[in-house]
Amino acid sequence: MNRTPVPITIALHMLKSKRRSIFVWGISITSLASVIALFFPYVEAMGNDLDQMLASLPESAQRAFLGGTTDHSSPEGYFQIELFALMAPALIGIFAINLGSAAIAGEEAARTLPLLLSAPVSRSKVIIGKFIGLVLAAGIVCAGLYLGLQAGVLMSGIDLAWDKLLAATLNVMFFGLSLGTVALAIGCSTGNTAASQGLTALLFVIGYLQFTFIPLIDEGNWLYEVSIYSLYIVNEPLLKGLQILDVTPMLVIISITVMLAISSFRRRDLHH
Amino acid sequence: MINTTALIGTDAKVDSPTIRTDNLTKYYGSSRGINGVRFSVKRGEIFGFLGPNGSGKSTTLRILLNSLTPTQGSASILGFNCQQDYVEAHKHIGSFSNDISLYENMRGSELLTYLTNLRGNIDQEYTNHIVQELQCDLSHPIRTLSSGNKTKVGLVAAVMHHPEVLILDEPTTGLDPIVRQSVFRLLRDLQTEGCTVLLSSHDLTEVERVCDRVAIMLEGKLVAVERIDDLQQASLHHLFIQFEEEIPKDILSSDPNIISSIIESSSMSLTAEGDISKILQIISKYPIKNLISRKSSLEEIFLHRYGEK
Repeated sequence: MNRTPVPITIALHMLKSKRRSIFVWGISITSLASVIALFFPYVEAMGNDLDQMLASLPESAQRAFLGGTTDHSSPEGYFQIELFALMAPALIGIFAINLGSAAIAGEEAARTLPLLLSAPVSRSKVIIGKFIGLVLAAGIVCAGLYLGLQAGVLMSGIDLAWDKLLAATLNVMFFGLSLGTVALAIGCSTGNTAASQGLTALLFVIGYLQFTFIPLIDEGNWLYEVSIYSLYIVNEPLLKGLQILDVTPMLVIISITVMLAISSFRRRDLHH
Repeated sequence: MINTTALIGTDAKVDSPTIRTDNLTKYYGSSRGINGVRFSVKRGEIFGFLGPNGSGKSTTLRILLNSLTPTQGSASILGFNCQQDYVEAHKHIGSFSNDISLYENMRGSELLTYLTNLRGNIDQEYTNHIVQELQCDLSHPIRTLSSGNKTKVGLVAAVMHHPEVLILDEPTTGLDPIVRQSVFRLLRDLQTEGCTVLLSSHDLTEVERVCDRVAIMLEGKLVAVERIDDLQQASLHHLFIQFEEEIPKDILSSDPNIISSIIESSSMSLTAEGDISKILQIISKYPIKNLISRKSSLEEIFLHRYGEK
């Protein structure tokens, strides 16, 4: 009888053990996305007045809170400003960081890891299973984000193509997975959930500040482009759709951090 | 009927000692874990691993289970290197430590299903037999179980795949005497089927009851490996004698086997090791009113031999 591959077994177990968290995050993000979409007709009715007001904000405020656009009256600009500039990457990022740090460091802290590793399973397969679980969990929550947005768009009669919304959702999912796998890798090399969560959150915050303030201090400085946040925010999927080349840097980060996670976990002494 | 063939004729390298460590050394930074630990365990033995807290027992077991990598030396189980061939080794090993947690939100049955999916090829009939033997509650979430019942679930998880080697770290802590009996019975059944058991404990009474040999760890070093029978033969004798009349205080002063003695008027209490026939000859010269003799427990032998090191 064919049995389920070990990484899939581990991934499904991870989803099952985190089902309540995934459900609550999914419902919350779906609701939030719907409400934001339902508000668009009111914002659209304000017309150019709001755009002019946003354009009058200092450039630093525009970059920090509007994701680089002041076009609040178009559906693309509205969703970019209200959701995809900061709120969605922050929420999906926090969700993925929590899950990534819980995958190995969390099990180590809970002293359940020796039980998992008592089975004849290589440490590499354990990490691959945890990564698949992370992708599936992020996929479920991002599916909620997409469905909530799509429902709001349909109910409000907003003229926005489904594939553009899907592209923006996938873009934010890849961003979340980038942070989640960084948290996974730090958890694998340290076994410490606090370090895993704290350092990854710091990476996000530093990236955000880097993107926002470096151009103001030094206009020609290219360093703002090398943060994990700028790899996400510069892609403009609501305007261009999903461009594989645009998301490739995030996919590369995900691949490298998973490999680093495997490499460090294979060599490391476990705390418990 | 339990299927015992799973333990016989596997492709494991059974000619070599089942468990072997060679100069096993582990440092945590600059602090000592264990130093130069070398021992081997034969197939079908129940091998006790004794020592006080911090003596290096758990470090040794964790190296055998590949939770830790040795700084020097090597360990093998059934011929498989515990670090390089750990996946293959773990097919034949069951383990349980009182120090680990089970997945608290799962039911016992869900946990066993998860481990079955990870391992594959689990004999369900055998698992059911062990569950009944230990009267294990699999129907409730693990977090709601008492520590004794959690231990039972952990033990079922450790043996459900018919391991050829079972590594147990303080397995009976928190268990009531009836369940402890069941665990000892299970260990003996497994031994009969050819399973090798490495049992770490500081409960010397339990080691005395089930083990064939013991290794004694102190301050990271293996100080002795002895047969339980040999230890018991060299056991201490405690004598309390009441005489009909007062006896001289120096009647036993020359006997080298006496460890301690107290003589008060017409009574004497003494502790001696080894052959006590000469002592009995001497005291029998005086009229004895009452004599009580007791052999020492393994704990007393252990403390006598290694307590002051």
